[in-house]
Parts: sequence; structure tokens; C-alpha cells
Amino acid sequence: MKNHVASWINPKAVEIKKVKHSFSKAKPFPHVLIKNVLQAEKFIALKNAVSKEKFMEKECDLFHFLQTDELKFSKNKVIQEWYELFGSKEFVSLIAQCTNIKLAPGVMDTFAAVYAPTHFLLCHDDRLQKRKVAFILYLEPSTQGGALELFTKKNGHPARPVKKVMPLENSLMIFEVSGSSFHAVEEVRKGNRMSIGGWFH
Amino acid sequence: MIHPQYQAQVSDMQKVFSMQAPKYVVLDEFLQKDELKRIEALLKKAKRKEQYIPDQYRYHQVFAKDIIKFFETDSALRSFMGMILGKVIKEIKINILELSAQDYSVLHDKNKEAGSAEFLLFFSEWDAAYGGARMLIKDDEKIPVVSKRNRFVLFEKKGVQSYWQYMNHKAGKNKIVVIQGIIK
Repeated sequence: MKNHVASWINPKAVEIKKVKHSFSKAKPFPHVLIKNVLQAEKFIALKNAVSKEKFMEKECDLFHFLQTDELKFSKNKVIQEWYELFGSKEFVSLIAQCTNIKLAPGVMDTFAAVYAPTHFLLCHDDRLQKRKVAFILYLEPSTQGGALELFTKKNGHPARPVKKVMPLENSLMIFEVSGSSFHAVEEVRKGNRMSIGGWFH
Repeated sequence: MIHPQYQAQVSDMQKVFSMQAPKYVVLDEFLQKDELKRIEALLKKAKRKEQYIPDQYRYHQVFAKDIIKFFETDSALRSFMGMILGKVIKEIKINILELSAQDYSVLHDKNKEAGSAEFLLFFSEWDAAYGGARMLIKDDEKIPVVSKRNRFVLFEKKGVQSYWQYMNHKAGKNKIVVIQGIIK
């Protein structure tokens, strides 16, 4: 790993061959959860930095949660460093190898979100613009609810949630964005769920 | 069926309705007590079936044939709503919904709002903190219509989008039962 990537990423967590296998075999659509993805001290610094950002309430038919401005505009040095890392040629190349999807350097639409009790995100497929791979970096897990639900597809519509991925501190969820990638965040019942989400393109 | 006070004040209802944006009117204690109890008894006995398309809606449909027929054909109700709307109502299509925790509907590009107006008749006392409001959106205005036993709501649909707000876990086992009428 190049220096910048090595200083942030836990090399034991990202074994390309294993991650690639898990990603391609996952049902109902390609995804993988990489645990302990960041070096411990970097993770703590990032979590602290994000928790100090300004969060605004967002609510519509599809969701209700708290969200920051796009993180590329953050003035916090740790967040800026993280943003550069995730968009770097080296890190994007790592994700491209894990997913076997051709990706361009850079990340788009990266926001931090907090789901407090009663907050949710209803089922959708994420398809927009050039999004190819979605990511969620979990910073703080909720204590009840808040799982990422993955749905099967039937007749062009999502059918039922068949897999729940519980948010786990310092883990990175990635999944392929396609006409089949229907997912939701189930309502949080207890605790606050804090994460960073965005897309590789 | 309709409480006499509203039948006597229909011109006032019409004024209230036309002053709002979107145009809507909320009438509490709408049905006379005996009629309310009769309908509630029929609703309680009726069969339910889950309706779930995850990217569109989730609720239970209530199958109460007699009630559906009654609200689709009752001439007094049709005339009352026609006077408020200022039009002759040609057709009413009834759907009865039961909404529980985790139920919702979303705005959907493919689901254009059907009908020119809609009425809702609620049968459940409710706390707005549970979610489950019928949200009416016109331009920058967003109006939550909250359930209340024997509450009648009539709203125009021209330029209005609407959805059922996600009902959260605070609702517990409480449910909203509502008669929804699409007016053509």
C-alpha cells in the first residue's frame, strides 16, 4: 500500500482476494462488509471530527435523518485528509480490485449522517448519475435498529428484505449500484447511528 | 349520516376550503354518533390483507364491501362534497386502509395523483409523534393531516402531491383506520 493509504487503512482488513470473493458471491446483490477497516487511531480521530460537524434535519417521504453538508467542503483537517484518501487513485484502485468494477479516482456526494431514534431510510436502489459503487463507513452503531436491509427483486420491484447488515463501528460496507441494489435503513429504535456515505464512480 | 351542523354550514365550509393553499377542509365530529359506531363495528370485523411494494407503499387493505358501496354511492355525502368543491362529482373510488408501525407510502414518479380531489375519514385517535400523517404538498407548503376519530378531511389534488408519512415504532400496537375516497 502507498504511504497515505497505509497510514489510514488496516492492511489485515483489506485482503483483496478474500474481499473480492465475498463481494462477488454475496446475495441478493454484490456487497461486502469490511470490518476494522481503518487504523484505530485514524478511526477515532475521524469519528471525533465528524461528530463536531454541523448536522441538519432532513425529512421527506423517503427518509428522516440528520445530515452534514458535503464533506468535501469541510474545514476540518482530519475530514479533509480522509476525503483525499477515499478519492485517491490508490484507494479507488483498491476498491476497483475488490469489486471488479472499473472506477475513476474520486468520490461523489459524501455526507455524514446521524440516524436518531425514529429515523429511517426507505427502500430505493441508489441509481443516479454515474454512481457505480456505494459505500457506508460506520462510525457509531445504533443499539437497536438501524440495520442496512437488502432486498430481492421481483418483476422490476424490490420484493422482500432478505439480509440485514448491522452497523458495526469502523466497518466499511460497499455494494454495487444497479437496477437490483434495492436497500433501506430500518428505523433506529435506540442509540444514534453515525456514518459517512458516498459513491465511487 | 353527516352531523347536521356541517350540513347547515356548507357555505362556510366552501369559504374555508377555497381560502387554503392547497385547498382543504378539516371537519371533526363529522358523522353522527350512531352512524360512527355502526361503521366502526363493520370495520372491526372486516378482513385485512397486506399491501407491500417496498419502494412504493406498505399498509393493510380493509375489505368491508358494505362500507365501500355506501361511501361510493351515498348521494347526501356526494352532494355535500360537491358543494364544497364547487363541482358535480361523477365518481368516487373507495379504499380502506389500516396503517401500523413501519407502514408508509412514498411519492412516486409513475404514480400520478389520481382524481381531482380526495377525502379521508379517520377512525383512530392519534399522536403526531407516531408519524403516520397524510402529508399534503403544494409548492413550498407541506401540511400534515393527523388522524383523529371521526375526522373528515377533503382536499383538492390539482398540483398537490401526497403520501403517508412513515409510522415509527412509538406507535406500538396503535393503528390508523381510514376510509380514503378518490373523487373524479
